[in-house]
Amino acid sequence: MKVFEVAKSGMDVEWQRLTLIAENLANMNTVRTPDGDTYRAKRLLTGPDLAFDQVLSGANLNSPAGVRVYSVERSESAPFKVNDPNHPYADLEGNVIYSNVNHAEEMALALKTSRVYEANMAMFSIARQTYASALNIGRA
Amino acid sequence: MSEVSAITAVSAISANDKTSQSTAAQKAETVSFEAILRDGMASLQSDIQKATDAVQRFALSSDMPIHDVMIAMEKARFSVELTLEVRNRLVEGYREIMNMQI
Repeated sequence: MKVFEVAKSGMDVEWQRLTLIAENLANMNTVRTPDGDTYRAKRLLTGPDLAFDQVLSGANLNSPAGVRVYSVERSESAPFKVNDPNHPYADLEGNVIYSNVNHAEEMALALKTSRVYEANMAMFSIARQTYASALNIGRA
Repeated sequence: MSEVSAITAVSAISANDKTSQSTAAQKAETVSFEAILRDGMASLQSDIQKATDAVQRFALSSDMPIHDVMIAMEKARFSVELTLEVRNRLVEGYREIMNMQI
């Protein structure tokens, strides 16, 4: 039943990625976060679900392990600077620094994420059909 | 060249089969059929319980992604289907023997 576990891990990860994209889009117009910094787009870093000691011991690195979240990192692209002297957060030169969330980039990522989620769902249903046909061994 | 290596591969597999068969036979002596059935029923029960728990948690808080619930239910269904199939074949075999003409 490893196929189902692997497909489920993919769905879990893509769901979290989708949540982060929603968070980024919701914070597009954020000028300042509670820690006083500008908001920066969050990115999910993911990879094979292996622990470091497993890699060190070199045990079954080729066996399927699924995927898991490594960490959430901030995008380092430059934030948008807008000249708006009347804004409460405008600096001395009248510039307001908005978040670095890029609308097109987030939408493209959201679409890709949803496609990968769908792919994992397709994988699940293929495995499901295979399982069902295996139950018919000796019957057909 | 490839044919020769294929033949050696086959013989290696058949050798493997023999050893695995003998170990399986040894194991089969210790594990009764009834115990296998009981284990299967226990795992079916736990799968159904997991699905019920997942549905309950989802109903209580929407924090849980929906695919978790669906996958738990789907797994419960696999278990039920497998159990049904085992039961059907058992009954079939039983009938076959009962209908034997002596």
